[in-house]
Amino acid sequence: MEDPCTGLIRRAQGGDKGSFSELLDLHYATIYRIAWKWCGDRTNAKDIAQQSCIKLVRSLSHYRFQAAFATWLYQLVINCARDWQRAQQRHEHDALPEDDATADGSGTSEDYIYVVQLLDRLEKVGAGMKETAILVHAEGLSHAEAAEILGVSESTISWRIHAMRKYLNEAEATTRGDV
Amino acid sequence: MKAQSFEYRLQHTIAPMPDIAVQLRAKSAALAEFERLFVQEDQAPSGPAQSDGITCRAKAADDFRKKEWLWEIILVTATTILGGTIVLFLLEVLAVVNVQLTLVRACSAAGLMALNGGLLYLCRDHLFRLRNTANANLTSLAEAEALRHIQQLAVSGCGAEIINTVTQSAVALTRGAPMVAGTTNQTLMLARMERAAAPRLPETNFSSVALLQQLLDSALKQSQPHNDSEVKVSKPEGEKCA
Repeated sequence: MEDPCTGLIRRAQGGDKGSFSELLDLHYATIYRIAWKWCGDRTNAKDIAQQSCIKLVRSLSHYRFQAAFATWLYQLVINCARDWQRAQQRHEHDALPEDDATADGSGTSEDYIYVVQLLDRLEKVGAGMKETAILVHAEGLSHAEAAEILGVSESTISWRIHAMRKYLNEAEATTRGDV
Repeated sequence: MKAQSFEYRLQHTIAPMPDIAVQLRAKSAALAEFERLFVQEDQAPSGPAQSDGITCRAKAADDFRKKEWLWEIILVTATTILGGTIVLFLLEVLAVVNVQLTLVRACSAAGLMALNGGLLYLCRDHLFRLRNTANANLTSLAEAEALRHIQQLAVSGCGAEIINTVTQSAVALTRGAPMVAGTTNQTLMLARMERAAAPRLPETNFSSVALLQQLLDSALKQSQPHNDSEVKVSKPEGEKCA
């Protein structure tokens, strides 16, 4: 089935600025949402989203319509988020969401701070855990869709989900034992 | 349950809507990048690529020159092969049919093509074959003159090896062909051949010229009883079949 954005994408690839602008309007919310779920912070999400938009310009010509545009966009934003995180770690500014996060007015920031902390801990358990959790749990994608986006097999996604649960259960048991 | 809670929170956390100002800023940055990228692409052919184009054209010209040189070689080779093939074909004809002037002249022309092509060994082979044919069949002045044509071509276009071969061919012709009427003409022809060949012959081959000279002298002696005006016509070609 043809992506409804196909025409826009083709025109944007051909250098039509208006089409690119329209494409960006349609997808900015998705870009920002993934970015925010990655970092849980509006300021950082804004930076990740902006970098993603710029990367979208540079990469759009490489999009060959072999996968759905949404899938391709997920890959792009996740790559940008990874790059951003690496840069943050390099500069030792890997700050957890602070004032800005609580100021978003969504009422979920504090909860999500905990989630992001868990996500970062999961990332230390195994590479790819964080994006797997975001795609499968936060975005509600199937294992197959997540596998396509992350460029791994479906069984790898299933294994990651299983390992994630196992780790969280163990962490919970440890916490109970401590208490 | 913490694990369930983690999944539940992930699933049910709603990301805040982006600020319009933030979105506009991101969009304008992306559009600026878009513009920069496409302007760069538009300028590419008239920008630095222009010098690249010149370089490319120069390279193409160089390539063409190289190819031209290659084409010359191919042309020469093709000419040589063609000429050689014609010579071989004609010589085969000569071996079967009696020697005829037109064929010999055609053979000369083919030989010229071969010589011009520079395939000396092939020519030498042809000339050897022609010499053998001459030994057997060449008796008339006309045929001898045809051989002279070949010799002149060889002298003008080829090296000592060919000249030597031609000289030997001429000697063989003189030995094999009887000094029939019109010897003066034949002698004059041989003298011209000798003159043409001598400056180009290496010292090692000088004996051939000396031998030729002896033969010329004997031919002149034989021709003395004849009057120059009494030029007898050689036997009709049809009767010369071996």
